[in-house]
Amino acid sequence: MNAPMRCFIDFWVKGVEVDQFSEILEALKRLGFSGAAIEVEEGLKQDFEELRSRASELGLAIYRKLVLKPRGRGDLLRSLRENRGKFEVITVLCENLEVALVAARDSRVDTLIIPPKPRFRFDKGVAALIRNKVELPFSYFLDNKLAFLETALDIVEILGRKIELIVSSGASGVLGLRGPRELASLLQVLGVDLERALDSVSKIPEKLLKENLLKLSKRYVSRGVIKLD
Amino acid sequence: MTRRKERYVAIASDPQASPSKLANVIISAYKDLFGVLGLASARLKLVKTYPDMGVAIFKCALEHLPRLLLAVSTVTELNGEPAALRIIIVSGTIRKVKEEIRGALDLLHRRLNSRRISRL
Repeated sequence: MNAPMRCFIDFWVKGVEVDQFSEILEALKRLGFSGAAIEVEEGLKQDFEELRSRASELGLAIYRKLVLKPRGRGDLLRSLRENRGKFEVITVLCENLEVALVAARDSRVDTLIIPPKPRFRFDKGVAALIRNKVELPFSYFLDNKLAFLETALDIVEILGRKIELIVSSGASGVLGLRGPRELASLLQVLGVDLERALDSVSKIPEKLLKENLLKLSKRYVSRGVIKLD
Repeated sequence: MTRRKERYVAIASDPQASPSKLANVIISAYKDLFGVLGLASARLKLVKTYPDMGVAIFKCALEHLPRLLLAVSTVTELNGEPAALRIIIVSGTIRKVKEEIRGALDLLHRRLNSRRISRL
């Protein structure tokens, strides 16, 4: 029996303008994605449901994503409190160790982004604390290949066995988008096997989104408890 | 001695560019990322080009396929203009790759013809 087909998801498409949106959706479909998490710009927030229906006509599922860049612990916790219920995906860009340690353990955070050449060291001690997934945006790789590869190698080596990795495009236009196999090839080159590399653009984000959609639904009561209709 | 396994990869650019330009850019991107030794061990070769579609077919060693895909993805510029390279198909036989491209070419011609007819 054949294995079920993978549903590929681009976990970060940066805030796009309304007129660019159709082009991006068509490109995502052409590249073989069936879903995308989109960082919503202020202007698009109200129209998102309309955009969602436009995407579903193309056979794409889109989700709202928020990328937080907190300065410290208090800032992060406040932003999480205010926004968790409004977005399907919340990602934290960890620019210092304090933020990284809080974001790594908070269950309201979905993924962490460790920028290339972070100003903090992450070792086995940090790895032991991390519960959330780590995201590697391809756009960071395109910006500075050497710095990104150094950090990504550390992430795969130190954290790769314990936690799950997600590769996203981080694109803000059609030309920044990359196909799922191209995104997965980044992890393959860093030493991850093909199945796990493909999971990072399919099964792992898909599972995460399914869990978050359940949490945002009216049926959800608390962890492990849902209302039955 | 066992035969080396290879893969054929059809690549096009967005926006369209000449396949020879495409080939140069891909080879230099590969060399930039993995060095001359990496390029030599990948046994990367340009097999066929379709100038009217801007498609180039490359052959590479199977174990180096992820490297080729990554190198192709790193291209962000062609002729000084922003661009992206797209993988059309990866296959173990060139026949399959040619079939896929021929299918795409037929579709393109049919669209062009229908436009001409509608103009008449």
